[in-house]
Amino acid sequence: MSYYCSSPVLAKPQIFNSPTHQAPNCCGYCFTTAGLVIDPSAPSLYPTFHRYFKKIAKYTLMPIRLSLIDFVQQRLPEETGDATSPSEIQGEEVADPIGFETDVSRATFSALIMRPIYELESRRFGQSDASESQVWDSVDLMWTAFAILDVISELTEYQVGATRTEVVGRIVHLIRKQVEACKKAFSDEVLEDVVRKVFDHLVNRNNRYLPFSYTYFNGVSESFKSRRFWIIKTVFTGEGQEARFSLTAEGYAAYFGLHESSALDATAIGNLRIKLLLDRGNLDDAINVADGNRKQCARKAHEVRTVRRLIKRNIQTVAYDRVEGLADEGVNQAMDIQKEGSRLHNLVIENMLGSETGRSAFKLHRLAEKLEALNHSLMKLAGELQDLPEDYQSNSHKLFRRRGTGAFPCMDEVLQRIFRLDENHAALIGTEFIARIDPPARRTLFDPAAVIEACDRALEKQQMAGDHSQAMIEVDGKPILRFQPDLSDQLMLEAFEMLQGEVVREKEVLVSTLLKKAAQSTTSDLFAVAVAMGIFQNLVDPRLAQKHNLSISLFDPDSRIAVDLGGGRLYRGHELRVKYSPISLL
Amino acid sequence: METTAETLYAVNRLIYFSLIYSSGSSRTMAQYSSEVTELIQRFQSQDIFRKQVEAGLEAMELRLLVLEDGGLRLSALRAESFFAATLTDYGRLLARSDLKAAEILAVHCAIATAFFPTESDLDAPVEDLGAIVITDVIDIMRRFTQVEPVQDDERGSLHPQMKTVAERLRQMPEDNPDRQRVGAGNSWVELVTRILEHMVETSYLLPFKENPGETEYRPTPAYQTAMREGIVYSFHAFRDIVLRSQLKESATQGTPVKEDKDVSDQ
Repeated sequence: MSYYCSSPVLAKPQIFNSPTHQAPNCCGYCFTTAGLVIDPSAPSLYPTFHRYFKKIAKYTLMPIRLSLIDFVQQRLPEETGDATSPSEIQGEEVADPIGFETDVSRATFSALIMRPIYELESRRFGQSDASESQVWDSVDLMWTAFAILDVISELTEYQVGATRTEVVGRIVHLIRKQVEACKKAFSDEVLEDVVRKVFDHLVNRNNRYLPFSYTYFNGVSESFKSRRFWIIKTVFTGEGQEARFSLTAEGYAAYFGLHESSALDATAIGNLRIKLLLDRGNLDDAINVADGNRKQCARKAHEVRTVRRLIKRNIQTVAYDRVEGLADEGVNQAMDIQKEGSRLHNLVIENMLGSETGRSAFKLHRLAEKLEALNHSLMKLAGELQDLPEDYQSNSHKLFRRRGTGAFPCMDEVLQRIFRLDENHAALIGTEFIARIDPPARRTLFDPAAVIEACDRALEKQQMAGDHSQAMIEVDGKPILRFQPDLSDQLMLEAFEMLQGEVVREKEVLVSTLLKKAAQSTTSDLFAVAVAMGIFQNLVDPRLAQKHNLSISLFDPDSRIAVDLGGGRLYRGHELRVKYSPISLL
Repeated sequence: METTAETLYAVNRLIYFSLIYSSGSSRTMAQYSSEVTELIQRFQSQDIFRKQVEAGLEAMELRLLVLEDGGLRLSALRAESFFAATLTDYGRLLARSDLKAAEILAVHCAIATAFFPTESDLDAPVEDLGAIVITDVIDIMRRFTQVEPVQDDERGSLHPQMKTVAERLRQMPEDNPDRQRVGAGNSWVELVTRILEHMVETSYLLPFKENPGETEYRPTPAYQTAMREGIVYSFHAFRDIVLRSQLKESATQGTPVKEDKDVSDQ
C-alpha cells in the first residue's frame, strides 16, 4: 500500500510507503491510496489527486482524520474508474476549473482600464454647436487622452501632482498640429475647451471625481463583480489654490498598455526590447521604448518619494521589511538594469561608428542620448533606494518615544478599529458619537420649514447615487393622480370677463348684486363660485385689481349678506363695493 | 430632598444657561455672567442643589461633560434624545444618506488623532496641543485607508456587499475642484472642511488665519472634554459590536466570498 502526501511542505505531492513518513510539519493531507496504481512517472495525475484530496480535506478537521481515511478506503474502490480517468473528476469539481476551461475574466478585468478612454469617442456626438462639433471632428481624442496621461506622468516626476492648467497648457500646442493637419484653424479657447473636456472625462468630473466603476462577469466565481479605479486622481496637497492630479497604478497601466507590471520589471523588459529592436535595426521603436523606460523610472521614483515622506512624518506606519525590500531588491534590480543599459549604450555607440548612412547615425545618436539619460536617472534612483534604510534609521528614534499611560485608549487604535468597521455599524456609532460629543442642538419648538426639509430630505435620499446603487423598478405602479381644480382656467377667465364687464358698465356694483347675477348664469354650476373667487383674488392682490381696473372696498362695516351660490354653497360675509377705477396715467 | 419654588427656579435657570453656554453663543451669555457665576458657586458648594441639577439634566436627557467657569458643558445623553445633534446639524446635504455618519465618525476621529497623537494628550493642557491644518487630517486619513487592506484577511466575517469605512473613504476622491457642491461632502477635503467649520460654530475649535489661504485650527478645552467622552465611547462601542458579531458568526458558520478591491491606493 502506498500513501499519498500533498503536504505543502513538500515541493510536490509524493508517494510514500509508510503512513508515518513524517515529513516535517506534515499537515495531515496524507491518505492511503488503497491499492490504487499510481505511476510516479506520470506527474500529470498529481494535480488531480491533489485537488481531490484537498476537496475532501476542506470539509474535515484534523482529529477525524482517521475516520476519513476509512471513508476514503470504502469509497475509493467504488470510484476506481473515476479516479483513473481525471476528466470525470473534473466534471465533479465545478468549483475549481482553473486550467481546464477557458476563462477570459482576467483579460476582461484588465481591458476595463481602457474603457474610459474608449468611451471618449462617444463624446463626439454630444456636441450641439455646429462649430464645436467641427473641432471635435478634427481632433484625435484618444491621442489627446494619452497625451494627457503622458504629460501628467512627466510633470509628477518632480512635484506631487499636476494642475489642470499646466496639463491643458501643454497639450493645446499639440492639438493645434492636429487641427492644422485637417487644414482648419481654431482659436486657442476652442482648442483648450476640447482638451478640458477630455481631461474632465478622464478624471470623471461628471461623476464628482469618483472612481470609474464598471461591472464585469467573473468566470471563476461565476458572478458579476465591479471594478472601481481611477486613471487620474485628485491629490490634496494643501498648497496653492488649484487642485492637483496624479496618475494611479491603473493610469500607468492604461498608458503603457495593458500589461500591468511593476516599474522596475517594466524597465528591465524595456531594455530587452531595445536590444532586440537594435539587432533588427528598428531604431525608431527602440527610441520610443527608451523613452518609456525613463518614465517608468520616474514612476518608481514617485513611489520611493511617498515612502520617504511617510518615514519622515510617521515612521510607525512604515514596516521596515518594506523599506529593506525596496532597498535590497530595488537596488539590485536597478543596478542590473543599469548594467544592461550601459551595455546597450556601448552597443549603440559601436553601431553608430559602423553605420554608413547619416540618417541612421543621427537616430543612433538620439538613442544613445536617451540611454544615457536613462542610466543617469537609474543611478539616481538606485541612490535614493539605497538611502531609504538610512532615512529609516535616522528617524527611528521616534519609534522609541515613551508612550504615556493614560486612562484613555490610544487614538491610533481607535482610528484603526473605526476604519475596519463595516459601514452600517459605523453609521450607527457615528450618529451616537455626534450626539455625544456635540453640544445640545438648538431645537425650534414649532417650525413648518422643518417639515418641508424632512420631506425634501426623504426625496433626496431616494436619488442618492452612491449608496443606493440598485435602481428601483416599479412593476405594478399606478400613475400618480394629479389634482384637477374644479374651477378650470376657462371658467375663471369667463368669471373675470363677466366681473370686468359688469363693473365697466355700472361703474360701481355691490357684491351681492354681482353674485346674484352670476348665480342665474347657466354656463356652469360653479360660475357663481368662480366669480366670488375672482372678487376674492382681486381683493387680496392689489396688482391683479389694478390690472382689471377695479378697486374693492368695504361698503358698510355693519352690513352682512348671505347669497346662495347654488349647488349648496352659500356666500356669507361683509357687503363689498366693487368700483371701476382705471389707472390714471398722470 | 426639599424643593422650594426658589430652588426649582435656580436649578432650571442653571440648566437653561448651560444650554446657551454649551451651544457656544458667548454673546448671549455675557449679560447673565454674574447670575451664572452665582449659580455655579451654588452648584459647587451645595450638595443638594447639585443633585437637583443633575436630576434635571437626566430628565432632559442631557449629559454633563464638565463643569466650567462659564457654565456646565453639556451634550445629549444619546442619539435619540431631543437635544441630540444630528447629521442635519452638519449640513442638510450631508444628511441625505444616513451612512454619511460613518464618514463623519472617521473624520472626527482623524481630526482628534491630529490633535491628540498620544492618549496622554487628552489630559494635556490645550495650549500645548498646537494647531492643525487640513493637510494634517488628510494625511492621517490616507495613512489609515492604506493600512486597512493589510489586515484584510482577518476580516472574513463581513458580508461581501458590506463596505468597511476605509473602503468607503478609498472610493471617494481626495479633492473635488468643483466648488459648487461643497456641502455634500463628496470628497475628503469637503468632509474635513465641513466638520472643521461645524466645530468652529460650536466653539470647539478656534480658527486662525496666519498665512493667507490657510487656516489653522486650535482646540478649546471644551473640545478636549467632549472628545474624551467620544473616544471612550467609540472604543467601547467597537468592542461591543465585535463581540456581538462574533456571537452571531459562531451561530451561523459560512464561507463568505470576498469582494474585489481595485480602487487605486495612490
